[in-house]
Amino acid sequence: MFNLTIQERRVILFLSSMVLLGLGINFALKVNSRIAKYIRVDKHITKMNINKANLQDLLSLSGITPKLAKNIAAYRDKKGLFRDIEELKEIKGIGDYRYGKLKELFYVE
Amino acid sequence: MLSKPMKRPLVIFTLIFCLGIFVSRQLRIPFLPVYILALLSLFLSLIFLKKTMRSDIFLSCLIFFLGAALWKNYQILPRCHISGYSSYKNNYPYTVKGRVDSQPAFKNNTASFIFKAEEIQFNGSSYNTCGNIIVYVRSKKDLGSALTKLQGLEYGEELILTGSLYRPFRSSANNRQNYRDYLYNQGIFSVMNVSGIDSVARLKQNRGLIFQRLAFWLKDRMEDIIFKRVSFVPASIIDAMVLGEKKNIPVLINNSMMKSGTVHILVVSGFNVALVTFIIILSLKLARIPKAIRFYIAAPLIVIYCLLTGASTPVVRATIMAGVFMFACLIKREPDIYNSCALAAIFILLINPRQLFDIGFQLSFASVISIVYLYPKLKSFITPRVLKIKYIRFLIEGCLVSLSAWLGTAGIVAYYFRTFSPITALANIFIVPLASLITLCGFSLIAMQFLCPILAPFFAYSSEFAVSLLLNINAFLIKLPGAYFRLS
Repeated sequence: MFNLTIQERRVILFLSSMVLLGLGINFALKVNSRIAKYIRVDKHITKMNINKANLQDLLSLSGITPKLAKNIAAYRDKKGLFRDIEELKEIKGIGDYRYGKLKELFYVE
Repeated sequence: MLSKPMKRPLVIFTLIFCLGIFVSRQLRIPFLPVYILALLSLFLSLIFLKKTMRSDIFLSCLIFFLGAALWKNYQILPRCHISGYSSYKNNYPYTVKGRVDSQPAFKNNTASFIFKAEEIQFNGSSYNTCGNIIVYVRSKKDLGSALTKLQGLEYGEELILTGSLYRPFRSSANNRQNYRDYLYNQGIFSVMNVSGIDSVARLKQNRGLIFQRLAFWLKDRMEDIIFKRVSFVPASIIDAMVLGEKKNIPVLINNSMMKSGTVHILVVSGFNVALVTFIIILSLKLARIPKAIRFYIAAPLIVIYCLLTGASTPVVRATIMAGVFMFACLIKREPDIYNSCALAAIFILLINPRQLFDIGFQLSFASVISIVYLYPKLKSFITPRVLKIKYIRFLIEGCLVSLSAWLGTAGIVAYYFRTFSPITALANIFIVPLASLITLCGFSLIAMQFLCPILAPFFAYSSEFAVSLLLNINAFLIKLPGAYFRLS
């Protein structure tokens, strides 16, 4: 009826399926906000829990030297778990500039 | 009796050329003897032009010494080169005049860009200079607004910078890949640190190439659309996959992709160029444009895409290969993937022979060659009866392509990154189709923003969902036992 080629059909199908998927997600988000955690990127994927990170984990991040990793671990052993990410500033070797970079890498839980 | 002509002479020439570069790097021979040997080989191959065997031998010698001479010449920097003015560490305040030679990146209150130096001043004297440096403009005090003064800084803009100039350090404990070698391979031998915005004088003149400026302008517009429609983390992934801009990707995501051996999807590679070529050709085909005109329109668009993504080695390789394929289709010749690969390698190495030792160059060519060579061989082990079922065939072919690429690159990855990831072959089966979908969605989102903005949010939701799925699958796979090993 439409006299479309197979490639034209594929393009239309792809675009329609993406719109349909987007529409479905949009609807689901409106109806049930808890669905967001399945659709949005979770923070544990993009950041590291500073209270659970061991020395090896800390060293795998760029900008963290072995000395700094040890200082973070020592601080945690001495003062207990972090309650706020700003506590990082109390660690020796972390000034405002470095804190600005490190807060992008960690979260507290 | 005439001998049969070789099917892939370019491949042999390229291998000999690469060997010349490699040997020349290992030996401490000055440029002149190598150059004289190249001239001698040229002379002998001309004398024995009609004696096939001898001519071939001397021709091979000529190409070998050409590669060696090219490397030696590339190592010799001009007397006025800016690296001659910098030492490993000194505290002179240098003033350098020149122009921005890349798209500036802004992150963590630091602006960074490649700078083409033209004039240098220190100790009250001024000298003409040349060469590229990498510049970091840091603003420690006025965190919020200082760098906004640099917003709008663009490729080609003339600047006068004042700061410290030094040679890059080996910033990695790993001897096999470090930042200094990476910069050297890009032809950058000095780093300039500029503290504060006041040390940057903008001359309000732009001398950048029009074609390149157009590409960067387009990139800016596309990035605006992606970040406006999609939340930050998925947008950073889409930005990397579609436009090759990796600066916003969280370190943790980069690390986890590296562990699963799928970090290649976070850069624009040959795969993306193939996809873009496909989209352009298909769009033109749908508009009922004749085949020949389609190729003439597609070629400059692919070149713009190459420039837009920063013209990295894999993209240049893929752009040349796509060009060769389209040209072969135009003149109705069968394209040969090995010859087009060799042509791309020669082209890249003629511009910068250091690229032979660049990880990106090695991974890019190793993966393509291993897929082209190993995939048909692996496929021949599968019984034809299984391949008759469409979906099983699709799945098996996907596995085999992934396995071929992994076999070709595992050694290089283990050598440079000290990580061995058996999970890669499995991860690629899930990750690569999702990455293709995200890339297609990203392009569709940009297109829809122009054509039908009301539909753009739906494409944004779909892209975000696909990115989330991809990251979750990746996080799950690297947690499997034996997914990856760190090599000591």
